[in-house]
Amino acid sequence: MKTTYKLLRFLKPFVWEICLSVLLGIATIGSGIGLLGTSAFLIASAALHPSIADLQVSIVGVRFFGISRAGFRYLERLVSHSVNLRVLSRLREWFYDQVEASPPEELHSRKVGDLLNRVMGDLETLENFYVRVVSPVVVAVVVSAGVSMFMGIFDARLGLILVTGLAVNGILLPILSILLTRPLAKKMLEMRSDLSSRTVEWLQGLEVLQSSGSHTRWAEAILIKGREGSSWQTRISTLNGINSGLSLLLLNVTVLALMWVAIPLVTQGSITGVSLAVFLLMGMASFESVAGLPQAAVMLNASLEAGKRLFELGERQETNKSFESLPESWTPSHVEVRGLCFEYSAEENFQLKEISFTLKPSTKIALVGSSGAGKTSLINLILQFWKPQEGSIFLDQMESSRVDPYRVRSNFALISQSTTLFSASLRENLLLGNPQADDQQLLEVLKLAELEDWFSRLPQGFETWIGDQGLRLSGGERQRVAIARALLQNRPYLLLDEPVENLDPTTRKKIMTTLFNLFSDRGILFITHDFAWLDQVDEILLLQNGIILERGTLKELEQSGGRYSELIVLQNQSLD
Amino acid sequence: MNNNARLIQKARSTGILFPLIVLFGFLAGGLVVLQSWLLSEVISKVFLAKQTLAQVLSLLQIALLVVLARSIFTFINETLAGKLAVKIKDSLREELFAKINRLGPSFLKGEKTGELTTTALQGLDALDAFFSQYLPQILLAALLPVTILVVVFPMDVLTGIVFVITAPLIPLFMILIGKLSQNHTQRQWIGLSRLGAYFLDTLQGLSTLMQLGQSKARGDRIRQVSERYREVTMNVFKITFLSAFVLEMIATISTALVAVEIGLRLLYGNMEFQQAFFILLIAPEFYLPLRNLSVRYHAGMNGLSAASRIFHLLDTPEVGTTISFIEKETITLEDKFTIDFQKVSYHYPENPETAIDFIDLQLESGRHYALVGESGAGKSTLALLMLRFITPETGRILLNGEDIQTWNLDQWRSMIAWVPQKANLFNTSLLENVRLDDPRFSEEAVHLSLEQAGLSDFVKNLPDGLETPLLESGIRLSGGEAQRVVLARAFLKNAPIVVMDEPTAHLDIDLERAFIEASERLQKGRTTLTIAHRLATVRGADQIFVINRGRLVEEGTHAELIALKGGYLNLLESARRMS
Repeated sequence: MKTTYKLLRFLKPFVWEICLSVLLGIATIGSGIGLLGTSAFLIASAALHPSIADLQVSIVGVRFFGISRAGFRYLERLVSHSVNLRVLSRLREWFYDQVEASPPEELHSRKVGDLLNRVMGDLETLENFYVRVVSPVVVAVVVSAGVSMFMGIFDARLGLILVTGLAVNGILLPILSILLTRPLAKKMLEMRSDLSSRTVEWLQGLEVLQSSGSHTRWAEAILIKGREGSSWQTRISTLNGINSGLSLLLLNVTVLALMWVAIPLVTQGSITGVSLAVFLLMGMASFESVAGLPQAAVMLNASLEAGKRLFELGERQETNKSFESLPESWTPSHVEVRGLCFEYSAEENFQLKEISFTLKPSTKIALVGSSGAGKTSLINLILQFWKPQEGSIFLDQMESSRVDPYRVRSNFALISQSTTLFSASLRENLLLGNPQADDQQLLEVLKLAELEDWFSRLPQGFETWIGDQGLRLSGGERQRVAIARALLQNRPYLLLDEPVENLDPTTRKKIMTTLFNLFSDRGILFITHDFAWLDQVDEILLLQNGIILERGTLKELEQSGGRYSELIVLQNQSLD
Repeated sequence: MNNNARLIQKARSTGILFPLIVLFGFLAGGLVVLQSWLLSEVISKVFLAKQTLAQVLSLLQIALLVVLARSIFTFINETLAGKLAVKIKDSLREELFAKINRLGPSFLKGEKTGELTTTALQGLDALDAFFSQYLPQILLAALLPVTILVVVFPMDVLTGIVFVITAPLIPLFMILIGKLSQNHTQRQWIGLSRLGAYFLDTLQGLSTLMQLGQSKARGDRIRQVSERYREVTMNVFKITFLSAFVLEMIATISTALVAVEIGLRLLYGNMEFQQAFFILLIAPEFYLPLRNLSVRYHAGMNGLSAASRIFHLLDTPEVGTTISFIEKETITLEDKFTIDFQKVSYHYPENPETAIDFIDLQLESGRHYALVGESGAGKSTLALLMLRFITPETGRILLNGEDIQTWNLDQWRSMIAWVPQKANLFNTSLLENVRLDDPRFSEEAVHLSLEQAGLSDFVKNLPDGLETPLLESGIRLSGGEAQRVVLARAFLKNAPIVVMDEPTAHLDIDLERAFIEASERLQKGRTTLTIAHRLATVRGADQIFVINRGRLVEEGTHAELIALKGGYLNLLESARRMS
C-alpha cells in the first residue's frame, strides 16, 4: 500500500494531464460503444420504415463516432506517453539526487553493474506504471459503470448482469491467472537465467572444452536444461490458452444472458425491440474497456516490486552532519594516514592493516605489491568514499571525517585505470576537470598527455563524440584523456593508481616523466606493480596481504635483501 | 530460400501440429459467422415477429453451444501454438549448438561471443513470439476475412464491395506508414539512444564525477537532458502512432459506412432486417483479424530479423572440417614421433594480414620447445593450428609423415593437453573441473593429479573436498590456484604432447613458485610446445623458435641465440628495459 501511495505521489504534479488522458481514454472506448450502439439503433429504427428525417440524428451519430474514435485514441496515446516520459524524468531526477547525496560505499561495491542494470530496469518498469496501470483501470471503471448504469435505467437486472460480466472478466480472471502463472513464471525466469549463464560459459570455454573433447557432452547438458525450461513454458502457454478461452466465453455468455433477460421485457413492452438490438451491441462493445486489465494487473505487480526496490535503495535517512568550517582557500599542508585498518567485507580477500604514512607537498610515495593487495581501497579511503574500521586520515591536524567530503576531494586529482569517460564529446569530458578551461588550456593538457597527434587527426576536434564510456577510443587513448582531464584539475595532491599500465613503453615513459616534472611541487601517491620509476620516489611501501611488509627508499630496500629484492628477480624473469 | 519460407517450412516440419493450429484458429474465428447469424435471427424474431423467449430459446441454446465451442477452439489453438513455438525453439537451439560446436572456437574469436549469446538466447525467444503469436495471426488474417466475404457477398453485394475495397487498405497503410515512421525514427535514433544512455552513463561514472567535484552540476544536466529526450521522443511518437490511427480509422469508418448504407436500404425496403443486422454484427469481426495482425506486427518483424541472424549463422560455411572417422593407433608417452610443420600459412578471415607465413619447423618426441616473439607475432596461431582449431591454408602439419588432418579430430585432441594462459574454470564441482576430458576418471586419479599440481593442501581446506562447487560457493581461488587446477587437468589427461601458453609473471612469489614447479613436473617426459613468457622457460628449452610477423626468424638454444645477437637478444633486452 505504501509503495502504491509513493508511486501515486509521483503522479501528483501531472494531475491535469492525467485527467485529460483519462478523459480521452473514456472518449475512445465510449466512441466504440457509441458507434455500435447508434448503428444498431439506426438499423433497427430503419426496419420500422420511418421517414428519413427521423434517422438523420442517428446517421450523424454513426458517422461522428466512426471518425472520432481513431482521433481520440491518437490524442490519448500522445498525452499519456507524454505523461509517461515526464514521470520517468522525475523518477530519474529523484533517484539521482538521492544517490548523489548518500554515502557512496554502495556505489563502489563490486556488484555495482548488477545494481545499475536493475535500477535501469526498474525505472523502465515504473515508466509504464501510469499508461498501463493507472489509466486503464480508471477508464475501465468509469466506462463499465457508465454502460451498466445506462442499461440499469431500463431494468436493474440488465445493469447487474453487465457489471458482473465486466467485473469477472476484468478483475477476477486476471487475478486468477496471475496467481496460477506466477510460480510458473518465476520458475521460467530462473531457468532462463540459468540457461543463459550456462550458454555464456560454454561459449567462453569452448576452446578448452573442445581441446578436451567434452564440448558435445557440455552442449547436450545445456540442451537438456533448455528442454526442461520449454516444458515449463508449455504449461504457461496452456494456462494462457485457458485464460483466453474463458475470457471469450464470459463475454459471450454475458451477452446471451442480457438477451435472455431483455427478450421477456420486449414481449412485456417495457422496452422496445430497438433497445434490444442496441443493448446487444453496446454490451459487446463495452468489453473493450476491460481488455487492458489483465496486462494492468501484471504491470501493477511488477511496478510494485520495482517501486519497492527503488524506494529502499533511494530513500535514506538524512544525516545532517556538521562539518568544520574552513576558509575558502583551504589546502592541507600534509595528509597523514595513521594506523588505518580496513576490511571490505568478510568474503573479500583484501584488507588493510595498520597502514601509516604522511604525504606532503613535493614528496612522492610509491605503493607496490601484487594486485588485489588493497592498494586501490586506500585511495577510496583517502577520498572518503569508504570509511576505515580503525585509524584515521588527517588533513593538517583535522580528522578528514570531520571535513565535508566535497572539500576533501577538491584537494586530490586521481588518475586510475578505472576512471570513467562519459558518453559525450571530448570537450565535455575534459571540462569535467575544470569547467572554466578555455581551448588553449585544453590543447595544453592534451599535449602533455601525448595526445597531440591523435587530436590533430580528429575531424571534429573537441566536438568529437567519444562514445559510450569512451569506448570508441583505444584503451591507451582513453587512459590518456583521463590523464589530460586530471591535469586540468590542478590540485595540490595527486593520486596515481597504475596510471600508465596499459600504454606502450615509450608513451609510458614520456607521460611518467611529464607527471613527475609537472607535479614536482605537489604530493604524489603512486600505486604501481611495475618497478620502473621507483628510483624517483622518496619512499616505497611494499604491501603484501594488507600490511606494509617493507618500507624505505629504493636503495634501502634493494640492500635489505628482503621480499622486495625477491620481487625484482621475479620481474627480471619476465619476457614481456 | 528466403527466411520467411524457411520459417514456414520449420513450422510444417512439426507434423500435424501446424495444420491443427490453423484448423482450430479457423474454426474459432469461423464460428463467429454462425454466432452472428443466430443472434440476428433471435433479435429479428423478437423485434419484428414479436416472438417470446420460449420461442427463441432453442436458438439461444444453440448460440450458447457455439460460444462454448469457440472458447474451446480458441484455447486449443493458443495452447498448440505455444507448443509449436517451443518445439521449434528446441530444435533450432539444437541445430545452433551443434553448428557452433562444429565451427569451433576460432569462429568465436573477437567480439562475436556477445553477439552469439544474444542470438542463441534472445534470438530464439523472439522466434518464439513469431511462431506463437504472429504466424497463426497472419494465417487467420488471410482466412477469416475471406470466409466472411464468401458469406456476405451472396447476401449483400454492396457491403461485400465495401469490405473488399477497405480490407487491403489496412495492410497497405500498415506497411506504408511503417516505412515512413521507420525512416523518421531511424534519423532520430542516434540522438535518442545517446540521450537514453546519458542517465546510465552518469550513474556508472558517479564516483568519477564525485571525485571531480562535478556530481551536483550533473544533476541539473540530467534535468535538461531528460526534457530534450521527452521532446525528441514525442516527435517520434507523433509519427509512429499515426499507423495505429490510420488502421483504426479505416476499420471504424468502414463499419460506419456499412451501417449507414444498409440502414438506408432497409429504410427503403431494399433489404431484410435480419440480413442487415447480421452484417452489422459481422462487420467489426471482418476487420478484427487484420487489426490484431497490426498489433502483432512488431513480434513478427522481430522474429524475422532474429531468424535472419540464426539462419545466417547456420549457413556459415565450415572450412576445413573434413571429418575423418578412421581410428588410428593413438600415440602414447612411450612412443617416438616427430611433428613437421611444412610451409604452413594461415590468415584470419577478418584480418588481411597473414598470421603465419610459410613456417617450417619440427618437433621431436620428448623434447621441450619454446615459442617467443612480440605479441601478435603468431605464437598463439601456431598453438591453435596444432590443436586443429584452425586448418593451414597452405602447407601441411605431419605426424610421422602423415597429415594430421587425416586423424579423427577427437582422437587427435586426446593426445594433446592444452594449458591456456588464462585459467578457464567452469561452474561445477572441482572434481568435474579436473576430469573435464572424461568423467569416468576415478576420484583417486583426480586426487593424484591435484597433488601433482601442488594443490593437495588447497583441496584439504575445501569444505566439501572434491565436490566443492568452484565458482558459486564463495570460495575464491587465487589466480595461481586456478591455473594449477588447469595443470591438474593436464596431469590427469596424461597426454604425450603438452601445448602451453604460459601465464605472464605475477607479483606473488609463492604462487609463482608453486606454478613453475608444477608445470615443470608436467613437462617431464612429455613433448612440450610452450608460448614462453619467462626467462627460465626459454633457458630450459631444448629449442627456441623466434617468431616475428608470422615468420620463423631464428631457432636454436638460448646460448646459440644469444650468440647470434639477433632478434632474440633484442627481445630479451627490450623486456629488461621495460622493467
